[in-house]
Amino acid sequence: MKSTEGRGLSADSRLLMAWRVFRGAFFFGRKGLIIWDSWDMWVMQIVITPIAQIGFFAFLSIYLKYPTSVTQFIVIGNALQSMSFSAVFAVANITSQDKWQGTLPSTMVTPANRVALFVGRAWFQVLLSALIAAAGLLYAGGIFGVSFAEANFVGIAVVVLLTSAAMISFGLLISAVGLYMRTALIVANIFLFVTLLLSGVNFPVSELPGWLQPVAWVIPLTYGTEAVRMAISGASLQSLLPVLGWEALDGLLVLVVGFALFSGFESLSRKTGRFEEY
Amino acid sequence: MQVLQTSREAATQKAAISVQGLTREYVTRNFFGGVSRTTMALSGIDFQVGYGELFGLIGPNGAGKTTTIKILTTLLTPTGGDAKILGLDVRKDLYEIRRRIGIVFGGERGLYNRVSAFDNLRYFSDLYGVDPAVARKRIPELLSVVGLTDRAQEKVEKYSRGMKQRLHIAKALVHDPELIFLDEPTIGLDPGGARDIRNMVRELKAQGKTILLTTHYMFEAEELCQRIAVISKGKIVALDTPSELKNMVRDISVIELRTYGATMEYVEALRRLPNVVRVVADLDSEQQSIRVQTPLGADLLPMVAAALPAGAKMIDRTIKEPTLEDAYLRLVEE
Repeated sequence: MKSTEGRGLSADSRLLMAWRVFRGAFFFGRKGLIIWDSWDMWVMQIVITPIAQIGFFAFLSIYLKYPTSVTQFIVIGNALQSMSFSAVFAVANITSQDKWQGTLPSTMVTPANRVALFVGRAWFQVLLSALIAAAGLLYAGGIFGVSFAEANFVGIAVVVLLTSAAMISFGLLISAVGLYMRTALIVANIFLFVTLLLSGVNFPVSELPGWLQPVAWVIPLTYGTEAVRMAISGASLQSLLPVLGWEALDGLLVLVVGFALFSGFESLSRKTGRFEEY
Repeated sequence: MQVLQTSREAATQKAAISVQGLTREYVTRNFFGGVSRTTMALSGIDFQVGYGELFGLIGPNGAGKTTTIKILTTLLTPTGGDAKILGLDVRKDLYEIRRRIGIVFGGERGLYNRVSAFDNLRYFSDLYGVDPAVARKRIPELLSVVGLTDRAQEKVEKYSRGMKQRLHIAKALVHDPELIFLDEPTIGLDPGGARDIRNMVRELKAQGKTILLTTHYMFEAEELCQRIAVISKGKIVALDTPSELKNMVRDISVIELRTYGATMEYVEALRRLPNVVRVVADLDSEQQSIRVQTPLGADLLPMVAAALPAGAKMIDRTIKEPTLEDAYLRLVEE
């Protein structure tokens, strides 16, 4: 049965309503409702997450007596990947958190445009994730000896922001699963480890088995790790554009799939009455 | 046949809520996808609620009240029958229905506890697409109506249950809906908090809102509702005004006892007495409250007194007219 969503409202009105929803959801997301509720927790996350992750893999590499270039490869990859906890895990948790608080039914009975609502709720995590990755890159230079002498800082900033936004698409996709399942956190956890394995964080994608390599390029972070290494080596924005273009396209495709999934799970949850199961 | 259909359509259009043959079946599947259990939550219920009416839906736990509300508020798809809200189809017109209805869920859940009441209301007003200028005026007004102005900036997690319930009501009104669903709004509240909520419901009715209320409390339904549907095991077993429902048990009187030291054995002894229709007892307090329904009225009193065991004491006994609760008990137990 086809829903007559938006019937009786002009396209302009629908757009205005969607904008109000996005703006409201963004400011609400800023309040840190997803997991953390205060600035000190956010600061802790920004400061500690990247150093712990980078340190683990860097010291492992040093212990195994890998060449410095390999350790730096690992450090840069992990500096960027450390954003995933915020970009994926926290965003994936939006629907689960709403289930736990009992706010999901109240949310799903609003006429709010779902794309505007959940992208809005997630958008603040783009900034948070970018800050975490930036802190990771600071550690890479300040503690682990990665040279930024030839770096294209504008390029790095663009890569970090774009990767953050693109990875949020994956968070939203997993969040859609949480609409139907009791929680999306298990899927999010699995995905975080999958990114460590497949995204060229600790070794080049070309080292993966041939059949796994196409899977690696489905994850926006894979483009991001390649692009950030290029930008640190001094690549111009122009030479970064193809990689960034693929990353943006990938992120957009994941977002579209995520919302198709969201729509499907919303409909399924209405049929099975699972909005309140947690 | 066509005339009948036309008159039914006309009635549907006049109703704020129109439910015809509404059915909801839950299917539990096993690991292999086969059906392991089928539960019929609603078995073809029919009722209509007029514009501006305050309509009650009462029934025991698991009777189908919440399932009905979920279907009418677009949270659940029916498996059969039809339901129209303000003339709109609950299967197809989700967006339009959601814009025009408000829902109050009972209990403590359903609010963002880590932010303030003000932020909760602002967020939901955004989700309903309320014009920011209107929201700036309406939110303080609503906070004042529900008596939360002074604590509007406090985190909701610090609120009492009654305050949370009042905030639920404000949240449901933030987009000024025409039709409001109240799902057990006074559940778990102390008498003062419940009275505040009932006053708010009366005020909403006075403003011309259409209200569908579910409750476990019979006196509340009797006090507030113009008509009441009694639902039991997924079926509507009676639908009428509170006074007409009470008329269904005019053939009985109620002996109300207050005792000290009475036990379950005494209650069972009362049930065995001739012409006793039903005995309802609250034995949890120091003083027990027991209601005995009987067509004999005062004639049963000597037998009631005689059945009292040694050591127990009769504090008070009164003959009363049957209440809505007596009618309800007969209806749901039949």
